[in-house]
Amino acid sequence: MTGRRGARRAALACRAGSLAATGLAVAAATGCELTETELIEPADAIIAESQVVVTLERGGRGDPAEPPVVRMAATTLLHKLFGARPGGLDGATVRIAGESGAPVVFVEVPGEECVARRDEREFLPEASCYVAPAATAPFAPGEALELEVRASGGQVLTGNSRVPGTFSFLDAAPADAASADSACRLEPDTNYRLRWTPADGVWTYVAEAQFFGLRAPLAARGIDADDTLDLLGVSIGREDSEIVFPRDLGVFDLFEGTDEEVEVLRALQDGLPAGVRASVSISAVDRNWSNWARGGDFHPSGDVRISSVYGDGGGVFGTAVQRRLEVVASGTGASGSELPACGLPGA
Amino acid sequence: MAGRVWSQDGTPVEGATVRLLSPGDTTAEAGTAAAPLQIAGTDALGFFAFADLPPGEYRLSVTRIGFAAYETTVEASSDSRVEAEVVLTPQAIELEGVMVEAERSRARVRFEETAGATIQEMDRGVVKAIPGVAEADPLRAVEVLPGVTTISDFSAAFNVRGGSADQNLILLDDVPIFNPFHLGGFFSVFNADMVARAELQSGGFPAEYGGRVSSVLSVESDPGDGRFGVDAGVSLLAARTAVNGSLPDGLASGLGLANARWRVSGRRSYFDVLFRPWTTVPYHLSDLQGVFEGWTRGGNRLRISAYVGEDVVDLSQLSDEDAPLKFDWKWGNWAAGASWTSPMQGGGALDVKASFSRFDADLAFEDFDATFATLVEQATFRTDLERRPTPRTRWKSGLAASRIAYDNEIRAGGTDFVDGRGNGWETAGYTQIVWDPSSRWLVEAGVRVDHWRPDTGGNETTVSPRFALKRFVRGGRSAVRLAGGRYSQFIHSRRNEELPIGLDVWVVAGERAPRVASDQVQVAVESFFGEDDQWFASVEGYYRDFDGVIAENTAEDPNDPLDDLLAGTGRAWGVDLFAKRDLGATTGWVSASFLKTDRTFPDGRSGLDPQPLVTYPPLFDRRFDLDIVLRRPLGWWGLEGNLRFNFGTGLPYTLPLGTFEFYNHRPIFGGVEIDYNTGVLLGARNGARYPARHRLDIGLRKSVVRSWGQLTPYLSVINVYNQKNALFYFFEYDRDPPVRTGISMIPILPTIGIEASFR
Repeated sequence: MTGRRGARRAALACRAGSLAATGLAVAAATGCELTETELIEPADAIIAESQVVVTLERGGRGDPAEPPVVRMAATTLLHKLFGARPGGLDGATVRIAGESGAPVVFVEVPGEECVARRDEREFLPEASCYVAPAATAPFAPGEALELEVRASGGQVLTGNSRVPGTFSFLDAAPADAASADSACRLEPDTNYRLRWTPADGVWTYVAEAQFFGLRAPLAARGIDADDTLDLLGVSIGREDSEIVFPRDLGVFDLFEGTDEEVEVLRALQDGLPAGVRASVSISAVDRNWSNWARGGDFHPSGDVRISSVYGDGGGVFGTAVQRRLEVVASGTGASGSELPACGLPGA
Repeated sequence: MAGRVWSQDGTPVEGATVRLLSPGDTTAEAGTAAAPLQIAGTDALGFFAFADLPPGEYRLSVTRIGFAAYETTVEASSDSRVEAEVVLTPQAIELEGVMVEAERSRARVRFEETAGATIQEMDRGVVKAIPGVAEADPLRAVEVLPGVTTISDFSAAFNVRGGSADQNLILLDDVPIFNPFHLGGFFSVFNADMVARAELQSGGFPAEYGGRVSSVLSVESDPGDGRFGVDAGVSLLAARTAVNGSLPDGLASGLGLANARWRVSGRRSYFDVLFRPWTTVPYHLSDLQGVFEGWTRGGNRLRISAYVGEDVVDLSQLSDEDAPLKFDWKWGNWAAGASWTSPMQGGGALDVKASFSRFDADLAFEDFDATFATLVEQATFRTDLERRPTPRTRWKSGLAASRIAYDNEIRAGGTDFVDGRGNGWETAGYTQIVWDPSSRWLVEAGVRVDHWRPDTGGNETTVSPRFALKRFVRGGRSAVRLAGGRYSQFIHSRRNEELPIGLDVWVVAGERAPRVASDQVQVAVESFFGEDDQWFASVEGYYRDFDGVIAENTAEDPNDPLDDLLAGTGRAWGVDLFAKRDLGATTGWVSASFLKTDRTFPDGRSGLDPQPLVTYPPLFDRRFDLDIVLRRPLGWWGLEGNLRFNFGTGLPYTLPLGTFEFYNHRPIFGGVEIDYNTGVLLGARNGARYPARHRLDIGLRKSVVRSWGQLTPYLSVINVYNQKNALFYFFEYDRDPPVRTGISMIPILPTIGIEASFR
């Protein structure tokens, strides 16, 4: 299955879920609402969403002979169920232990430290935020980890994960930027098959990109767009180690975005306009991460998530290995034209 | 002594009552004179037989409603078999209760000749008398039979004795019908105007039946009586017309037929047409069904039947405001079958049948160039030979070959993204014998061998012995019976039965899915009683196990293309009680079913590897189910009143322990973003139960007879006292205080309709 297939399959699966909702809506329209009944407080359970993202940086200032440095960004959100006393779960102990290294004991930090777009401050999670104190990971890709969460109220959650194996981009050169592993060039308005080596133990590749410099070139085409845009796609399965870039990104938004957003996405279906840059992240995620993200059976009260932490609640203990790639849409002779092509021009 | 009963037009007479009397007795007034020495009924080919007759002279009496009574004297000798050919003369009789009398005879004949199977039969009159949503529906009528459970008012799918819905073999004139539903399951595809009778075998079925493990529902089309006639009807669902007649004599004769009759019916919903000037109704259904039956002068029968039906939900032409999500959804069935039945000298027949059945559905999202498609089809050729080697023995054997194929696809951009196609060949052979060593015993034994050869995965061969033993007491009016056997099937539906409306998506056994094998045993006590055997009652207990049932693996490994289904096991046991009255002013029945069933699977909701086993009651585990069906002339303006009451204990559901906000982790940012959906933390699988449900439906029918035919307006009120039976609960823990809300099943729903018959 190609990346394109994976991304679309996931999107279509979402649509199948909405069909279930359609059936439910039909039944709801035909039936009558039942009398409201007040409930007792929900169970005294807690939810832990603990995700560890491992990156490998070249050691020795780019010397390929040096062993890579294993970095990590690890966050754990602890929260209560709806209806329980509001707020997060402060004062908990969150600990990860690997097979070969010292345990990592998380530290509690303000909620914004766990938020994706910290600059935009879109929201603050109603949860307590814990992060790994150091960027260097005492474990490596492929290693088994154990999670233990002990809340101040006495609840305990545990989980296990095996970090997926490492992988690397094909058809890309080492990047100058410290934030990326590799860099490459796209012909403007052309899709490329962006490929990487399969990673062991992976269930899903999460493909993400942040695009910069969109406003001017799209305005020239009569499209009103923000200057930056971030999009998401997925590839399912170890061998699905390819996406058609940028077309396969943003599939979810094609289904769910506003008309303006969909217009921008459609403009990107044939490639990036000249001068647009993108930071691309491919994350090989484990079974726990995949199960939590994709959900499970139908239930009328909400999305069923497949939990990978056990004890006094549920949640996820997911691990991922991440690679980053800087991309520039640049014609011959333009800035960035010295970079290798990002794979093969693709369908 | 054996014989065959014919009509003057060359058609064998089924359901005639044949009595053997002492020489001095007579039944000129049928059934009112002397008690017969023996009594028998004729089968579908008009055959009857008597055994163990001392040599001597006898009176043979044959009666059948619609024919003049027939009597003759026959001589039985000790060294030869007596063959009697009886020709009945039609006699126009239009009496209330005529069908009731015939029906009682069929039930009695079946009681006497069937050792093991639990069979309930309803004719068209009964089907129409059960109050229904909009119009009579044979599948909805099945719900009220013992051992049958339904999970929702919104679905005509049914479960029998702890089996899942895909374990019911549903036959229309011996042609299997996949997903026999209109409106996503709300109505069945069976048009009551075309139905002669519907017969449910809920257990103990003999070796000739294969392909499903739980039940056999056989719907038989009515080819009419050969006279030209038109039936029409309008309900709140659809308008329909049925036309019947016979081939012109010249044409029939040219085809070598002595008698050829046919009936065709079409049905279509009309709201989309009716409201077109004002608004767009994006849904319609239509179906067309026909049956032809011809008899040669030698008594051979040719029967052809066909069905085509389609549902369309088309939101693609609606405005963005009316339909933010545009799709075009079509599904439907194609089915056709032909059979040639050649009677054998001395009873029995050779049957040769060929059939084809197909179900397909297409759901297209044009805006996204995306299509979901599912298809399943089955082509079958089978031959059965039945003989009566002795008057006390019936032997039947047969061979069948079927090819079953499915194709489940998700396409986008002209490319197949999910390609779940597969097929397999099922070949089967069986032999069975029914032996009545004396008037007090009936023994049935048989064996069936099924061989399944899928295109992927290993071949499977199952050997399925079947047995039944019946002991008659009280002069043959009561019986105790024991039956058991192994049953197998090689096809599954992946439909999520928890959804009130949905379509079956089929897969065949192979490397993705196991075959199902089920061992079953049942024991029953049953009896006719009362004057003219007007009452029938039975108590039946059963046990079943299931090996190879499937469930979706929601935690499937994307690196393993074959783990998307989980294989599990199941058990079911219970007791069915049934009491029925067929004669008298008030007719109907009471059925009470006790059931306990469970399923054991690797837990598809677990993130552990390997997944731990979990045992839980499936959605259709209704522990107690009571149905009361009554039919009575009311004495006011010729009205007939109908009533159906159902009570059922609550079905299981999974109680949420709580709900929560969840967040999506975005590795590129190193943090989370809010998902805006609510997650649910679940308790024990199906560990809670909805409250008991109950519902009363009533109906009124009035038939007005005119010189041109008959007009029958009817009124039905579903859920008379507007009981709010729970369909779903919603647990809203995010409200303060937390509340449980939900939606109910069908509220009070009056419907009207009218039927007209032109003769």
